[in-house]
Amino acid sequence: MHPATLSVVVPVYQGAQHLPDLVAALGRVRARLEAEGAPVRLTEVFFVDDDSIDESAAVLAGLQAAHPWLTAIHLSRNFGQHPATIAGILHCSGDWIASLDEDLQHDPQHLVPLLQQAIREAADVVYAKPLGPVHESWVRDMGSAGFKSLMSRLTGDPHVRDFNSFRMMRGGIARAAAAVCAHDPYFDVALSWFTDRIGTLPVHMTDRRYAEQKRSGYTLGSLGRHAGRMLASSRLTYLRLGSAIGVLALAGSILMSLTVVGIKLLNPAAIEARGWVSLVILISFFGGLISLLAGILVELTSNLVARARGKPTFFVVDRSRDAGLLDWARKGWS
Amino acid sequence: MILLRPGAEDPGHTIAVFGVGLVGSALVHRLRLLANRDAVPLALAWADPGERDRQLEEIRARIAKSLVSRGGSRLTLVWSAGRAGFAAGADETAAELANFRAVLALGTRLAEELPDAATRIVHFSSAGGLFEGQRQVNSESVPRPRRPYGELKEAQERLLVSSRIPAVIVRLSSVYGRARPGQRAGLVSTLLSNGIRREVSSIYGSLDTLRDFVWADDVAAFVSRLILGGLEPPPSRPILLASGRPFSIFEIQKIIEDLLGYKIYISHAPGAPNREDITFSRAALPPGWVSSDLRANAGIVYREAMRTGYGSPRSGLR
Repeated sequence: MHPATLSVVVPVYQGAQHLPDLVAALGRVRARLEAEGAPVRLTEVFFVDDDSIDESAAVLAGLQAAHPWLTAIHLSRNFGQHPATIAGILHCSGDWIASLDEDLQHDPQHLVPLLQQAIREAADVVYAKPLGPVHESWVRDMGSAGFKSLMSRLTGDPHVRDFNSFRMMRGGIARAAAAVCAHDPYFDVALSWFTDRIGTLPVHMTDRRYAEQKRSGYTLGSLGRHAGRMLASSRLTYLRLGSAIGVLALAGSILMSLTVVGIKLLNPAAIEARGWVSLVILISFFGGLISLLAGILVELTSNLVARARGKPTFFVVDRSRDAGLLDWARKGWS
Repeated sequence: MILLRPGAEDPGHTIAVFGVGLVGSALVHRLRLLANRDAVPLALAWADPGERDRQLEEIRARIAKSLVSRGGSRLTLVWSAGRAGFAAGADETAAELANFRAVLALGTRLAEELPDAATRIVHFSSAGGLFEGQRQVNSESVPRPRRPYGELKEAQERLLVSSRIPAVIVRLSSVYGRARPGQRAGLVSTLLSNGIRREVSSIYGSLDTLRDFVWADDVAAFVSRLILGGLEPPPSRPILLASGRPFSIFEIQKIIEDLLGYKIYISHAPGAPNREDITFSRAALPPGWVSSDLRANAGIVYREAMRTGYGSPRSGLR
C-alpha cells in the first residue's frame, strides 16, 4: 500500500523572519518520516503569500527554489488568514492536510502527533490545544478564551472553544469545506458542517512574535472583525429563543383568555376593572403571534443563508485507510 | 484532419493537424490567428482502414506539393486525434493505435521524400491515462497505466521515441473547453450541459476524487507558440501540461451549481474503477505555461452552451 500523504498549508503575511526556520523544521519532519519508513509522507507544503507586508515573497522564492516539495502561492491582494488557508487547502492533494502559522508559534514537531491522534480517534479534524498561555499576556489569552466560550454558548457548538489555526484535517473533508467557503468565511465553521468527529491534542505553543516584539499579527480591530466573521458564519441558537418566547406568550394568552371567560361566566362580579383583562389578553396574544412569526422567519432565513453558504445536505467520506495506519499511530512520536 | 498552409507570418511552414476535437480545433484556431494561415479540411475515415490509407496517400501528396511548390522548409504533424476515452476497451484502443501507426508512417515517408524540410511531430498524450492512480506526479514519476487507454498512450509514445522523426510529446491532464455536439465532453462540460437540461449526470468517482483540469485554449496557446517557434531543439522529455491545482468532484459540482443557480443531479457509480486521485506537481510544469482559472472558464463554457443551444432543454422536458 502506498504511504498516506500529508500536505501542509501556511498562510503568510509577515513571516520573513521565521520562514527559513519553519521550512527547516518541516524538512526535518519530512526527512524523519521517510527515514523511519513511516506509512505517511509529508509530500508538499504550500505557503500562501497573502500580499505580505515584509520580504516574505522574496524569501519564499528562494526557499521554493531550494526545496521542490515547497510551493509558494501569491494572492492578488490581502484576503485574510482564513481565505489564504482556504486557497492553500484547495491546492493540496494530500490524504491529510495540516495548517499552521508562519511564525513558529506552531512547532511542526507536533504535526505527526496530531495526525496520530486523528487516526487513533477516527477523527476528521484535530485541533492543537494550547498547554498554558500562548501570548504571555493574560489579557490577550483570557480575551480569546472568553470569546470562544461565549460563541460556543451562543451557537450551541461545543467545538468552537477548540478552534485553532493549528489543525490536522482529513484531506477530503478539508477540501470540501474549503470549496463551499464564500465571501468572508470562517473556515472552522464550514469544517463543522462536514464532520463532528473533532478532537484536540494539548501542545505547547508560544506566540514568539508577541513575546519578542510585544506586537501581535492582529490589531483590536482585526480581532473584532474576526469575531464578527465567526458570528456571521454560525447558526445562532439564541435566535430560536424568540420563537420559544412567542409560543409561550401565545399559549399563555390563550390560557388566560379561557380562564377569564370562565370566571366571567361563573362569577361576573369577581372581575371589577373593565377592559384591563381583555387588553392584556390582546397584547399577549398578538405579541406572542408576532414573536412566533418572527422566529419562523428567522429560522427560514437562517436555512436559506446556510444553503447559500454551501452547507451540504450530506457528504460521503472514506475512512477505510485509517485501519492501515492504526498500528503506527499507536506508537507515538517523540 | 486540417492542413494549415504556410501564411505570411510563417512562410515555408506547413502544419497538418490530425484530429480536430477539443484540443485540435482549439490549436487550429490559435494557429490561424497567430500566423494568418489558410485551413484546408481534409476527410480522413478513421473507422475504415482501406479508405483511411487511400486518403492518407492523398494527404501525403498534398503536403508534399505544398512544401515543394512554396519552398517549404518545415513540416509539423500534430496528433490530437483519438476518440478512445478512459473506459475504452482493447478493440477500440487497438484500432486507434493502428490509425496512429498509419499517420506515423505518413510522417516517416514525408521526412524521407523531403529531406530538406525539417519534419517534426507534436503528439498529444494523456497524463491521466499514463499516471492513473498517482498523485503529485512530477518529472521523476514513471508512467504505470492500468487500463487499455493508458497502455495505448504508452505504446504511442514508445513508437514516437523509436521513430526517426523528432517528436514533442505533450502530456495533458483532463482537458475541458467549449465542447460541441459530437465531441467527447469532459466532466466540466458534461455536468454543465446536463445541469442546464436538468438531467442526471453519472460520474465515475466519489465526491472527493481529485482531478486536474486544463483549458483547451491554454493548451492551444502554449503549443502553438512551440510549433511556430520551430521546436528547435525538440524537448528531450515529454512536456506535462496540467494546472497543478487539484479539483475534487465536489468542488466542480459546487462551481457548476453556483453558475446555474440551482442544484444539479449527480449519481455516483459505486466501485467504479476510475475513483483514484490523479494530481500533478506544479514543479513539473514547463516554463511559460499558464493555466487559467477553471471557475472563470466554466462561465465561458456555460455562456457558449447557452449561445449555441448545446445545453438547451429538449422540447417536452418536465
